[in-house]
Amino acid sequence: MRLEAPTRGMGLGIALSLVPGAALFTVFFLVPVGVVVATSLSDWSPIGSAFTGLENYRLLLADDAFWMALRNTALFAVAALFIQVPVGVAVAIILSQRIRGWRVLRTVYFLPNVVSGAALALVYLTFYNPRYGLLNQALGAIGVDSSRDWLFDVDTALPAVAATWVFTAGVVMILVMAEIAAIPAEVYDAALVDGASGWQRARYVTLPLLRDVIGVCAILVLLFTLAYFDGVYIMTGGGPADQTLTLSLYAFQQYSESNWGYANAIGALLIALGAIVIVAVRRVFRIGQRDF
Amino acid sequence: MTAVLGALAALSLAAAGCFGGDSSTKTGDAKGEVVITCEDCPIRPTKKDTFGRHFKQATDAFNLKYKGRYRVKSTPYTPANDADSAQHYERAALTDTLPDLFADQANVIRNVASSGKLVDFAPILERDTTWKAAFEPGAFASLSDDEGHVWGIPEQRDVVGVYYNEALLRRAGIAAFPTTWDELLAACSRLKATSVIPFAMDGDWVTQLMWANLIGTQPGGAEFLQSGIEDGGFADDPDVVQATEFLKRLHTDGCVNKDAFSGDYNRAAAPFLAGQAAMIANGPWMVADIEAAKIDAGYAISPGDGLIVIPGSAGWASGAKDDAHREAVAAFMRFITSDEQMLRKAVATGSYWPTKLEPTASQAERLEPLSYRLLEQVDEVTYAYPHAKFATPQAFTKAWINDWPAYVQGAMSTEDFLDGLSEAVQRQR
Repeated sequence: MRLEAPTRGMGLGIALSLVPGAALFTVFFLVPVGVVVATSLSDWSPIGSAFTGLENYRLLLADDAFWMALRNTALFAVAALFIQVPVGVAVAIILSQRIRGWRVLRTVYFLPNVVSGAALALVYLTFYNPRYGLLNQALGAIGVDSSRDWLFDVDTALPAVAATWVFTAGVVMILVMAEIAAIPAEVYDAALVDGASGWQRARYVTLPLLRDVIGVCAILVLLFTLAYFDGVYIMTGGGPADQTLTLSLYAFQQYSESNWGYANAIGALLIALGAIVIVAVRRVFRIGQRDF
Repeated sequence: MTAVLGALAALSLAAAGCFGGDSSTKTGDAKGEVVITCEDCPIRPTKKDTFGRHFKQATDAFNLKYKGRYRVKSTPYTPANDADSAQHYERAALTDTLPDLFADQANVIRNVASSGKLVDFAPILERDTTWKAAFEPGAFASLSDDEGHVWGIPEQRDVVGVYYNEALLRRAGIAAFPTTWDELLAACSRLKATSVIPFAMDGDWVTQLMWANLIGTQPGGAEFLQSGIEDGGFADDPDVVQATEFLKRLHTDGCVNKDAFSGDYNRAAAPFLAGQAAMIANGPWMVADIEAAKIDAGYAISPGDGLIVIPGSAGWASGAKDDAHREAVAAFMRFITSDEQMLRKAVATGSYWPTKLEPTASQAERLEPLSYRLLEQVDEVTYAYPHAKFATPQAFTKAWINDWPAYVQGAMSTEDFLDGLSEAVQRQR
């Protein structure tokens, strides 16, 4: 789409109206990002700061905990992309068929999204507790004797943490349902005339038209995994043995240990990763581009 | 570049609104009264907050006694947890906004002292020899550095033993609390047979108390916990290796609650207070909870005849910037460490004094019997030693909580686990 040039004489008014927004953007985004990037090039602690160039980044490359955090964050991203998004899309397509009770189901499925992550984490701490948790009791009820400490067992900690949010795809569902509702009925009518079955209409009509919104959902869930902190902080603190450590949590831990420059190097990498994710997903899903 | 970074840091901290304007040092009012700001001096303590209520009483009494001369003004600050508090004071030191008075753990105070913004109490104590002599030997050890600076004033001496549920032990046929580590293992087997959790632990504080007991009740263990622990190299110390493996064995033999890995203190406290666990290591501050839970509890020295004694595990530090405020701070410190206030505090909270106070028989009668009996045994036990937590930086605790579950599950060797702890200590020194 080509933007029209502003009417002559309106330039000053437009510029002035942009000032408040630009000022807020500068103060609350550009300055903090600038601080993060600038201090990531320093050895900054309560004692003071000294410029060290790329030393923090060099140290990151040799830091096992950082690689573990990167691996875990990547695995969470994969889970979000290949489980959370498809689940949300599938639920949306099913509910958009207006099946019996779809309104209730939509509300119920969305409910976890209105509960704070911290509160949910506390619920899951109890759910996974090896002494009195619901999971082990349920397993016991079906004859599986388990006393596993799911969140603190090195073999199960990561999937146990992922399971607390990966099936919670209410936001994806709502966005996709809204997009489906906007698809003109004539498109489906034409498919029906051509003899398309319900599955074929979903596969060849609905899904291709959802490409944009699925791309947006992919960006949202990937950015969520990059910033994922509260749940893992409350449930495991990144343990056991860094098995659930994420990049955001690792940055926080370094900050807690007064390694502020090092923490901000991780923060700067997170900003870069976020930018890469947005650009890559936009390209893969060709968001905003027309096929016809 | 340093100046630029400093400016950026100050700008970002100011923009984030990290500090209110109330923690700065303020001069007195028109009459010349010196006002000192105090964080952790509770303004409205709850009924259950015995420590807070004591501090409120002490602050009010001080303000009344020194009316027109000195006044302690409480500034609200409630940290979310220990780490939050540590960061708060580190940031305050960086931005030169430390309060005139604040209380924290000794390792935090030593860390903040590295900023050069804390008052050194050593010259004040040298000038007031009576006050200095009132403290127990070693009372300032955890609040001092190698160069003789004293960065904090201790206000209590923690004596930490092991609580046990007498009814659960009796039911398992155990006549007396185990006095050796072998007896503890035997007690564990008998308690398990009665479906009782023998020992409650949490993967952090309580677990490390038992680690300290296992190390401290060996010859040379006290020296290690006092100072050797700061040097790392744990895996090279056979006593530490043995203690660590014994503690692991308690877990793998099923002597510890199954959910003992989160680092959440409640994972240990809850089963003991619910009458599901027979033993728990903890300090005298737990007495109030035990009484509320109506548990018939005893309080014993550790198997191996040792006690954790921590003089000055926490203390008061000062960021006062001029002589008038430093004098006011010293006056308040003298006041709250006086015999009268120390006794009041012991009665109110069950925690004891770091001074040479010897209560009369009638005064002793007012003290909580479980913990006071333990305090009286300090000079009689074979081994007295500090808790590992207070000679180590926060990174040690984080590494412990992170690696301990993996180690107990066999995913790490003893050497790897101890090397991880050593690295954490070295990293933050």
